Amino acid sequence: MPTASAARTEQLVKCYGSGQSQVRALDGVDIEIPEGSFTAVMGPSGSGKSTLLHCMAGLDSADEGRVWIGGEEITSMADRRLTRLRRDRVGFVFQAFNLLPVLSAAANITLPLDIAGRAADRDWLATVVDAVGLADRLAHRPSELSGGQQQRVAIARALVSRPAVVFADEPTGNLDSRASTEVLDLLRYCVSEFGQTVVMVTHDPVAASYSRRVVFLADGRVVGDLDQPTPEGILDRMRALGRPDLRAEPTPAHVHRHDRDGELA
Amino acid sequence: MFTATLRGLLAHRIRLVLTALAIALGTGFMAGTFVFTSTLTHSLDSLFAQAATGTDVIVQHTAPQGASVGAGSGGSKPIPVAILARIHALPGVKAASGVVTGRAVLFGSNGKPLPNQFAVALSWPHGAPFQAIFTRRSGRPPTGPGQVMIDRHSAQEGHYVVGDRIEITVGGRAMRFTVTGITGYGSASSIGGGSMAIFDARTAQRLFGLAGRYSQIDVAASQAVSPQQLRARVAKVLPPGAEAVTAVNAEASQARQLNHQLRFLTYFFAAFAGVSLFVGAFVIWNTFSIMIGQRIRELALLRTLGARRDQVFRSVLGEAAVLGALAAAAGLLLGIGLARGLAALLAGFGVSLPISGLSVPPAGLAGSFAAGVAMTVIAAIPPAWRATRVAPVQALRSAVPDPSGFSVARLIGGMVMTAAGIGLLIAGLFGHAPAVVTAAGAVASFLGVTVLGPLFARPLAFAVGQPLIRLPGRTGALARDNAMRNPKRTSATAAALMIGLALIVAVSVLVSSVRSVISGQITADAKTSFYVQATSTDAGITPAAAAAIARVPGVRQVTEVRRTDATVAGSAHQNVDGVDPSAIAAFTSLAVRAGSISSLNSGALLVSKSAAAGHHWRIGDQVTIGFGSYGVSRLRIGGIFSNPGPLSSYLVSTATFTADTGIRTDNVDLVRAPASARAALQQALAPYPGAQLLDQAGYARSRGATLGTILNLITALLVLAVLIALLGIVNTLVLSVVERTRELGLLRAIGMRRGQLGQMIAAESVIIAIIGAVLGTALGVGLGAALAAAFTRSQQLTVVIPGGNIVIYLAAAVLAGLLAALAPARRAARMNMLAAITSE
Repeated sequence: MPTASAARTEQLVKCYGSGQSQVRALDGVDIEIPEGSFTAVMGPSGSGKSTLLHCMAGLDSADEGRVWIGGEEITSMADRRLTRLRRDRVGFVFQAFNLLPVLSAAANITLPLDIAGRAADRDWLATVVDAVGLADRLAHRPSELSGGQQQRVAIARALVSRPAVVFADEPTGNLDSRASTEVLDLLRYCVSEFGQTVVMVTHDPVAASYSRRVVFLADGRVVGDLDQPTPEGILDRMRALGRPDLRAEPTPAHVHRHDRDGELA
Repeated sequence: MFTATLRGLLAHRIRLVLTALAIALGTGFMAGTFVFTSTLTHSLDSLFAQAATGTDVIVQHTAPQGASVGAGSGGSKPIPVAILARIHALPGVKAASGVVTGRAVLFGSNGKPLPNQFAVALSWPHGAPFQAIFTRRSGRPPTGPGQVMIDRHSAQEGHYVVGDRIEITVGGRAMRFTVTGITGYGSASSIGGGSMAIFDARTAQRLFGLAGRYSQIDVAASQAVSPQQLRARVAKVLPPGAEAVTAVNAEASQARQLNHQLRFLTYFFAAFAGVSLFVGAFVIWNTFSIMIGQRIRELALLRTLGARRDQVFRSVLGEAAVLGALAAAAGLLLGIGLARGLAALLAGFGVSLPISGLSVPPAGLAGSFAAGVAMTVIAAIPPAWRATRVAPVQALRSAVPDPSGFSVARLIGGMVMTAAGIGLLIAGLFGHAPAVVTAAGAVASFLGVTVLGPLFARPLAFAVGQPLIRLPGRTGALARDNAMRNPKRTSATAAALMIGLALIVAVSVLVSSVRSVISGQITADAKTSFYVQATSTDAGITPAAAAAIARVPGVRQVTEVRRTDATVAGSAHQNVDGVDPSAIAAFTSLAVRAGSISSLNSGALLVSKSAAAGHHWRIGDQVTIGFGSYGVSRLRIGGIFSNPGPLSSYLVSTATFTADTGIRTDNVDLVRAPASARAALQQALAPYPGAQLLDQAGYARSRGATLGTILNLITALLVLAVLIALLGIVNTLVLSVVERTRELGLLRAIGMRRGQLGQMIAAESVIIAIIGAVLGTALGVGLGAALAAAFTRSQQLTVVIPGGNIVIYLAAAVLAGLLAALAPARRAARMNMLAAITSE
């Protein structure tokens, strides 16, 4: 049974600079994110993994190629529609948490709904708050929360509008190992319990091992992937990526599209 | 260190420009004041010099001791024509001419007065030397009754050519003349922007009631004689009461006296320039405070690398000095343009001055420059000091907690300062302290409230923002949170607006109160039913109008009131009225408390109770009254009255008035007649375009109109201070937008539209503006009430709060807040979202 994709790119190209100094940050990326999957994007510095995330999430525009979110093509969208799509169909988790310091945790969580002028679905909100384990911290300001707690608020904020995809950009980059584990467990829980699609960019093999599939990027291209990853397996592939002579031939990611049912089986 | 300073300045060009503009405007205002007054002085000098072209010696009535040119409306005392023949007979006299001057208003072919700055009438001089100033003539000079020569400018404005008939009013009465000639004046087409009506000497004497007399006699010396020699010769043949002065001396002393009187304009404008600079200082202080806050890491790094505290202090002050110098220099250029603006502004409010050319006073400009730089550096001292308190370790910390702004020291300090300010204010207004005490009190209370500001900025922002939280998309609520998060910043930004608005509201309260007193006085006693008022105070109304009114059926009684501007016991610009002692009681009940009205018949002076109280006068005291250049009188107080009604505080009889001022025209005619007589009165006044018929309410309004004009002028001058305060809001918002780049980026990322972002910033701006407006209104009402009480307590203590005006000011503040948000909102909307999120 074929699954619908939550997000998809086709021959995505993104360049920075111009003329001689032009850098192709993304050089024809084809990737498909099935619904309910937990995908990690890895690669050495400058491989284009953050750029890929930004383009897929509608934060940055592509130079060539196309991007779909939940069946809608976003590459041709004007700013207003794109903004709306980000508001309703995409969730974000950033490395620096990016909470509004003037708002309480609760207000930060419901911010996307408030901006949209929609009331929160009380049951869903309670479920989310319960999942992130912050029921007793809701009245606190971000400055009164630990890093891990702040990141969990950010995850709740990303979940609250039931987006098609949650994009997490180095979500554990600013956290110690205990808080990192909590956050990664939480992300995995969202996927397994709520069927939430999550795409996470990270350079940490341990973090990536929480996902069900790792996609490797180098020089703006997809250079391989790994299902059911372990930290060791990831580390091996990363080492190979660091040495071009060992790098595997680039293989289109969609060939390796994994079967969700099969995986759960 | 200094290189770091300059780099710091150049790195932030927008905020540099905005901050500089705040200083430049204040400095420019001050420089403009000096350029304006210097240009005015220059223009008057050259006008006097022109007027004396070809004249070496002037014969005039002996100037009274202490008399001053231009202060009264009567001009100088005339001299008998017989003197002219004696002068003609002297050796060394090349030419001599009697001159008659007066006021005559020219009307255009459309029946409306020509829009000139002022209207002069003079007689055509005899002798080529005196005629030389009348240039580019067409037609010929007037030679008899019914003939007039007019200036080229008026001819163009009124579309007149030689041979046309023109309407001219003298004493408010319309007369028709034939234009026999058109003339320029020196290189200009008119006399300093005024209109000229030139009659032959005999006609001018008849028109201005000067039969057998001249206003002055101009004498030209032949080549063999110096002006000084000629003056000595002329002086010998003059009767007592007349004097000869060299034209050069006369010019110089006239110019000197007039300039002395106009000096109050310099003070007047300089006061508002000072307000602008003061408000500008707030903007500087706030901007530097925010910048220091944002640069804490950078400063801490400098300290870590070994910079001493005094180096940090000097670096910040150096930045302020460079900024102040650049801005003040720009302000000087601005000031030169602004000088013309001030003249135009005054003209717009009916105060016309003969301005020509441009004179740039080096000392005034240097002073303005110094004031601008000093204000900037002084305002930067508190932030600079705070910069020295930055600990090196702060370079390593990422976030700095927001200061709540609450401290007991602040509370006590602010209260003490406010209380001291209020104390000084009351002492200044109700005691016998000089005006500077009042001003110091106002400044101290402003500063006190500013110190207290951060304490109530949060609750105020909370309350003001309450209606905004209903805005969709949480934009209003976020704006309110942002305004509350840094109470010091919010209150400092609002304080600048508060000062400008407080002054506007205070003046508005004062004017409304005084106006209410005036109109209360006029309407309190309903004996007079109509007022016939001169449209031009200078030109007045001829007594013939009163005679014509008296003949209107239904009119029971008419009385003439003459009025002049005089210097009474040393206080300038007091109105003195000439009234008919036997009739005036029928028109207004003066409520004489001591003495009698009939004492006026013996040349006595009646003073109002409030004036008497102010000067501690009693019946029988002698009062010195200066009637401009016409003369100085010493008058005995013959009575004290408590209710001036439509009259002034100083009354003399018509006979005394005319003898002491030379004024033969009325300011207002009081009429007792049934309301039904209006149409007939209107008809009877048709030949007098310079007289306007008013009922009681209309007269009360017209008396208050001058005050309204002053209010508008002051408001216009304070608008600059408000504008500077708005720049402060723009600056704060721009700095906040930069500071909150990440937050704004996040909001965009999670789905806030550009429009919503703009709305949020506009809402924050409006909240700040309303806080400033609310505080300003509260302070202004307090200050205005104190001023009004002090001004009106001698008559009837009146405080009127002009609610309508205040609502308009508040609405304007909201609008201004929206306007101030335009640029910051645009900046926020254009921000690169990705850079905002990823920026560390």
